[in-house]
Amino acid sequence: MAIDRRGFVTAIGGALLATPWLARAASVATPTRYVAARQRDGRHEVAIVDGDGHDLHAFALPDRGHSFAIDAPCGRAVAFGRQPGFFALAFDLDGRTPPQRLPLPDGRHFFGHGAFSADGRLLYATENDFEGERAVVGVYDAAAGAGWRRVGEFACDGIGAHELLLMPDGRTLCVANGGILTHPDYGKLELNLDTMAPSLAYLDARDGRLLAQVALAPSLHQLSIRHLALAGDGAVWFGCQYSGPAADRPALVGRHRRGHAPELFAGPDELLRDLRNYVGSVAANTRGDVIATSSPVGGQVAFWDAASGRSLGRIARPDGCGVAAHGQGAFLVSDGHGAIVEAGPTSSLRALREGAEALAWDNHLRLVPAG
Amino acid sequence: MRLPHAILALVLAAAGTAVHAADLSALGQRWRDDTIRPATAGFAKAADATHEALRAYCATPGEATHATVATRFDALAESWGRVEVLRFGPLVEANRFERVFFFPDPRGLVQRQVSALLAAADPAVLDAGALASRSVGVQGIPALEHALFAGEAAAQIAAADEPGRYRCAYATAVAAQLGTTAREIDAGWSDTSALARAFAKPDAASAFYRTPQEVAAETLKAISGSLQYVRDIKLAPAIGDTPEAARGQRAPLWRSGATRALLRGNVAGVRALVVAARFDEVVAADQRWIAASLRDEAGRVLEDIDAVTLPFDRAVTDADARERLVHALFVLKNMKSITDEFLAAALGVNIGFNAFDGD
Repeated sequence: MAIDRRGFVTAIGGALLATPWLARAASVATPTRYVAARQRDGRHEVAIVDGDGHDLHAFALPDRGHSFAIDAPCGRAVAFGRQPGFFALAFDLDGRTPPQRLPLPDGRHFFGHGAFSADGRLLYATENDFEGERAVVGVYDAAAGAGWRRVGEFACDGIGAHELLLMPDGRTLCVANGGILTHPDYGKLELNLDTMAPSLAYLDARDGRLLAQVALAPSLHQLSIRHLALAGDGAVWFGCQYSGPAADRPALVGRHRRGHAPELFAGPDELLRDLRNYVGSVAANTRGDVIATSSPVGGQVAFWDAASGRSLGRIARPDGCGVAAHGQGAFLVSDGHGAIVEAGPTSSLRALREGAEALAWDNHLRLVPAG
Repeated sequence: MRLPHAILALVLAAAGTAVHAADLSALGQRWRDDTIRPATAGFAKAADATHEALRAYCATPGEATHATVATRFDALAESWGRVEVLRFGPLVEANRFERVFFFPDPRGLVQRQVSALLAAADPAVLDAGALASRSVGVQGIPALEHALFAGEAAAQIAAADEPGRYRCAYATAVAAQLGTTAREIDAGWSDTSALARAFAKPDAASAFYRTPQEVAAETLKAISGSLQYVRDIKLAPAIGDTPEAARGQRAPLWRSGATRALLRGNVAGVRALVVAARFDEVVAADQRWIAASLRDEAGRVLEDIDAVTLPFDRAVTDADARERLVHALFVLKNMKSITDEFLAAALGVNIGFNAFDGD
C-alpha cells in the first residue's frame, strides 16, 4: 500500500503541527522506568523494570522482541518483533490492560524499531517491503480507539532501515538505512553485501518527503548504520556494524548534524579492536552530553563526549548490549547473562541486578521519559 | 602438533557454574592444516578441472564432452561445499563468497543478469579477468550452471552457432574466474597470510586472533552458521512444510542436479572440522560424546543426501525422497543444538545471547 502524500496530510489533518513538541507532559511525576525485551526460561517477554533494574511487571511476546516506541505522556508503548518481525504489540506501561496487536499488511515485516509522533497521534515503524527490496516507515493511527489502523507508509529511500528517531523539532524523522537487503524467507541473511549503500535519511514526519540523505564515504559501503540516539545539542549519534572483512577496523560510532558532513569517531586503537566491528545499541545520558555505545560481540560499553567525539573510556560487560540513561550522567547496562549494572565514564560500575542463568536481556533497554 | 593430554584441570568459577577450561591452543593449526587448506586447494583444483573440461567441450560440443563437464561441475560443487562452511576470513574478503556463490537469489538476479549478458554477447566480457569487475551474479557457480544447464543451453551449445559459441566461451570464462577466486581464497589460508598464521598460532599482538578461544569461537560460529545455512536457507525453503508447499526450484543448483554434491560438500566440510579438531584430546572425558555425536549425525545426513537420487525439483515432492530430506532437516537442527549448547560449553567458548545473533 503506497501512501498518497497529499491525501495522507489531509487525513491526519495536520495534527502534528497543532500540538507543540513536548507539550503533552503529564503533570504527575512517575518513578523511573525502563522497558526491555528478554528471554526468560526459553520464553520471550517484555519487562518493565524500575530504576534499579527490578521487575515491575512483564508480559509474554509471541516471538523474540527487539525495541520499543514509547509514548510516556499517555503511559503506553509499542514492542516490535525482532527482524524479520511479524508482530508489534501496543501495551500499557502500567500493565493494566492487555497488549493489543498492530495490523501488518502482506509483504511487510517490522525491523524492530519505531517512534511516536510528538503529539502521540501517530506511530512510525521501520518496515521491510521485502518483495520491493526497499525500506519503508509504516504509519499507524495511534489515537485512542483507532485500533492502530495503518494509515500509510513513507519510502525511506534505502534498504534495511533499522532504528528511527523523531528529531527535536517534532516534525522530522531520522531513519538509519542499514543498507542490508534481507528477505524473510532467508531470515536475516544479508543478500546484497556487494552492493550495500547505508545512509541516514531525514523524512518529513507529516508526509514522508525526503528532506535530506547522508551517506558515509563509498569505501565504507559495508558499514551498516543501525542505531541512533539524540545528543543534548540535537546531533544524531549513530552506531554501526561492519559487514566487511573482520581484519578491517572502520570507526563504528559517528555523529551527524543537519547541513554538515557526518563525522566518525574511532577512539583508541585498542578500543576499536575490542568493539569487534559491532555496535548493538546507542544511548545518550540524561544531560545529553555523553553517548554510550555497546558491543555485545566485543563485550564492551564505550563512552563518548558528545561535544568533541572524544573517547571517554569503556567498561567490559560480557554480552552487554542494552544501554539507557540513568540518573544524571550515568547509564544502565543490561546483558545477555541477566544482569543490569549502572556505569558511566566517571562512575565506578555498580551492580543493580544479579545475573541469572535462565534470563537474557535482549538488545535494547529503553528509558521511559519522565512524565 | 599433538596435544600431550592437554586437558587442564583448571576449574573456573563463573556465574556460579563450574567451567572446565580446555586447552584449545592446538585447534587452529589442526583446522588450518588438516581440513581448511586441503579444502581450499581442492576447490582451486576442481575449478581448473572444470575450466579444462569446458575448453574441450567448447572445441567439440557433444555428449561425451558434455558428460565430462557435468561430472566436473558436480565435483566443483562438492569442493565448494567444503570451502563454503569456512565463511570468515579469506572467504568474506573482497566479496569472495558472493562472487563464488551468489545465493539465495529470491529475485532471480543470476538468471536475469546472465541472460542479459548472453543476449548482449559482448566479446570484452570474455577477456581474461574481465568478469572480476562485473556483477557478482555473473561470475560464480550459479552463473556457470545457468550458462550450461538452463533450459536449452546444451542444445544451443551443440548447435555451435554464434550464440552457442558465445555461451560456451562465457562458461569457460566463468570457470577461469572461479579458478582465480579459488586461488585467492587458497592464498588467504597460506602461510603468507597474517590471518592464516594467527589462526594457527594466535598471538596477543595479532589484529586477527589473539587467543585460542577466539579461533575456537570463530570456527564454532562457522560450524553452527553453516548448519543453519544448509538447513534454513538451502533446504527448508525448497522442502516446504508440506509437499504442496514444496518448491524444489528454490534449492541451489537444481538445474544441473548438483544440489546433492553441494550439500554433501557442506556436511562433509563440517564433519571434517569436527574430526580435525580431535576434540577428544581437548575436552573432559564425560564430554567426549559431543564430537562423536556430531560425527555420527553428519554421517546420517550424508546418508539421507545420498539416498536422494532424483533431481531436487522432483525430489521434494517424491514421498521417499522427501522423507529423507525431512529427516535431514531434523538431524541438521540437532547438530546445531549440539554445537551451540554442548560443544561451545565444553570448549568454554560460549557466545553470548546478543553476541551470537545481533541486530
